[in-house]
Amino acid sequence: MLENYLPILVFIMLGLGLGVGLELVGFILGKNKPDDAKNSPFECGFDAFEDSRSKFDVRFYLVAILFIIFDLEIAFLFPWAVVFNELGWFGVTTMAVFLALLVVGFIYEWKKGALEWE
Amino acid sequence: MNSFDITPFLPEVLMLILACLVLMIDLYSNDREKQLCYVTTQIGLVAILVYLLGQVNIEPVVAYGGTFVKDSLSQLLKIGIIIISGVSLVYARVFIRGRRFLRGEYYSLTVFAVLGMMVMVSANHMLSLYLGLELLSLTLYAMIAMERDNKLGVEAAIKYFVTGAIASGFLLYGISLLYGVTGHLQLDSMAKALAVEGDFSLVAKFAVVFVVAGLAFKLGLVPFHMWLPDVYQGAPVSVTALIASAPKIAGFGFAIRLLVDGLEPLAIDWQQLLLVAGIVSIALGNLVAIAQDNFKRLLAYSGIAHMGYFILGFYAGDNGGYAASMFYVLAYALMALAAFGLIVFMSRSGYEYETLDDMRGLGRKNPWYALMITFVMVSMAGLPPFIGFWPKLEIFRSLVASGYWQLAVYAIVFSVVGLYYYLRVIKVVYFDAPEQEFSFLPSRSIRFAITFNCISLLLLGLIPDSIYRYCLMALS
Amino acid sequence: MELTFQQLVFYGFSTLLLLSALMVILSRNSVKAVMFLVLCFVATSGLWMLLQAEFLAVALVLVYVGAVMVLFLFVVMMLDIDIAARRHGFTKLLPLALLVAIAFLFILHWLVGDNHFGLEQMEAPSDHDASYSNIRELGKMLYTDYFYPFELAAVILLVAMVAAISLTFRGKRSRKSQDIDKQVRVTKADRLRVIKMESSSSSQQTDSKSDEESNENKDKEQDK
Repeated sequence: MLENYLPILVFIMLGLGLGVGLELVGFILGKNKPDDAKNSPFECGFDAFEDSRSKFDVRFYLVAILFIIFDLEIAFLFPWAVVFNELGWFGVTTMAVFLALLVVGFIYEWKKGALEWE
Repeated sequence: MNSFDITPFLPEVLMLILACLVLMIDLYSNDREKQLCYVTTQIGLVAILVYLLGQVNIEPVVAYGGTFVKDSLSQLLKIGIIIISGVSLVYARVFIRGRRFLRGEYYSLTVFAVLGMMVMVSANHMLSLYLGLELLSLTLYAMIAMERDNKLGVEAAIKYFVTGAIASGFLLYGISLLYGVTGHLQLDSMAKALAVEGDFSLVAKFAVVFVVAGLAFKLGLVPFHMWLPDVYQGAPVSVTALIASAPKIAGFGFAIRLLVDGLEPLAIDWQQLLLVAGIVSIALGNLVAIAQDNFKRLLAYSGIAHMGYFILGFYAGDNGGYAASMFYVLAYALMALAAFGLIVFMSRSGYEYETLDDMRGLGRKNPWYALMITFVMVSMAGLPPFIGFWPKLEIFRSLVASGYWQLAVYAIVFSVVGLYYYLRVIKVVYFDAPEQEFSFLPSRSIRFAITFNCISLLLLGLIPDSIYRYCLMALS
Repeated sequence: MELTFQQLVFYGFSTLLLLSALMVILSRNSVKAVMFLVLCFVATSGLWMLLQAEFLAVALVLVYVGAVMVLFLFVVMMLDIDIAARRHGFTKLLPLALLVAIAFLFILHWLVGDNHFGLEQMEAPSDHDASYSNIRELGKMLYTDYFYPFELAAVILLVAMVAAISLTFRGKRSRKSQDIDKQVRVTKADRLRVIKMESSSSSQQTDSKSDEESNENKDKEQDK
């Protein structure tokens, strides 16, 4: 079974090799003379006014967590789709109930307005 | 799977439908008071309760690929859970309106929590056991933080969440080891596999340590009790009334399913762990409670001590002991509900009588509710003829019957220590001069529920057999 | 000892996992720590693939790397954590933490290592042929035998939605932003209303007079 995934492994290795290798070549061959002025952060010639990290609106978080939940739901759909033919009505009903529960959640989100940005 | 039978888990299905229904009603009704949500929730809970009451004494049924079991024990525990959660909602209704977080989600989340507890007590598989626990915990985390402008509440939710997540991690690690050892996740098959002494008994013992640690976290046994006082104090009191009561019943169901149904062959190992946890909990809970000025924290530490007594019933290690524990946890849930219900009742918007000083002189200003507090305190202290006395007696009796009389003496000594702080509350209420006027939540339903709740402590104490008989039946 | 190719891959991924896990703890920048956590998950996914759990391996990348880590990044960026404060007490507690960690490591090695779960006790799972589908096996179990836990998972997801919204969502916000579409589409009828007025009666006159007076008063106040 694992031999099916050998191309993917090769692909990963190639990606890793290219990514690390090219960086490394640049690092070794390029001139690298850091000094204080070069290393200090600046904005248009000034010193940085503030940290680049700033507080996000909590709405981003809400969207992200709702995304995760539906993402998980989709993950459950894959095995179901693969064996769909063999499961019979019982399996179909199981998934229907599963989706119905998440539709309840979806209606809830929709009506609450959590999916609207403005 | 051709003949699918829905009746075994019909109560759970109905509970789920109820939760979704309440969620939808909240969305589609314009009622600011959420009366319809509340009424639907209560009617639904009562209907499911009636359905459960009709089939208490039944033959055990294992269904759904061995993930679910329905027996007298699960039915009784579900009945207890539903009654207690329903009463906690009566307390909550006016309280959350006064605190301005009256939202339909409060009701639907409570129903989801009840569903989680029901799943826990009738689980026959590690998966359903764990998922029920997570369903319960997740709803409780959300409910604690629901009053968003209350910093203490949010802090309590985070503490509860972090410790709860660690506990889940412990539990899962133990379960994974047990699965590695036995190759089963279904509890009865696991017990069968463990009964055969093999190379893995050492690993299984190690797994038991993790599982018991997770359980102790959830029950709030020392040394995993740190979250409990902060959560009880920080959470909105109506939520505390729920957390302190019904989940303990579910915790008992969890312990019985996991330890007795699933890990019976390793009883010696988990009994020792529980013994240590129980002994230390009784001592620490009772001693630290003496130093508390905050009534909620006092109740939290007393809760730790109560859980210590409760777990000693498992040490007795026979059905009599388990029945005593079950009796204990049902009685404790009722008492904790009454105690926190009283705090809910004595609050008004933005202020709670949460320190002992606040309750000074309640006896002169309002003798009736002072009497109610007395009932609760005396019952918690374990004096006859209140309900708090009998399960303690049963625990001691089962310990003595199993030959652990030293343990019984130890528990009795600390019960006497505990008497001190319960009586201190009564002293403050009756003998200190009042400093302020008392105002209560203006709600007839709460007043009625509180009175009913407190008087039931006395009435059930007069006929203790009414509950204990069923506990024995469930575990025989 | 000769390494098979599979073992080589295993050691490669586990080294990657251990190193990136260490970097999660050690890196000073919390965003970088999250990135290393992503690398952790990818390496774990490789290990799971070696265990022939192909669906779980892919789901790990899909769900954790694709979604959970995004959330992690949001959370890490949302809180601007003071790094100096975070590292406070790190060195003080380090010996104790190391002691616990090493003790735990030895216990674990002793318990779940070779002497209990080695090849002598448990034979290695047989390799499946190329047509074997892990997803198929999982699907056959999950939606029939384990439908009860499966539906419970759906309930937990539903509760997660309700909880997330009830905790973070503070209602629709009304903003006074321009909607250019609406502005363009506006017609005369929307803005202008022609009303037939009666010829002014006495009461209206007094009303308008008092209005004017109050306006004048306001003007005077402003002047002052």
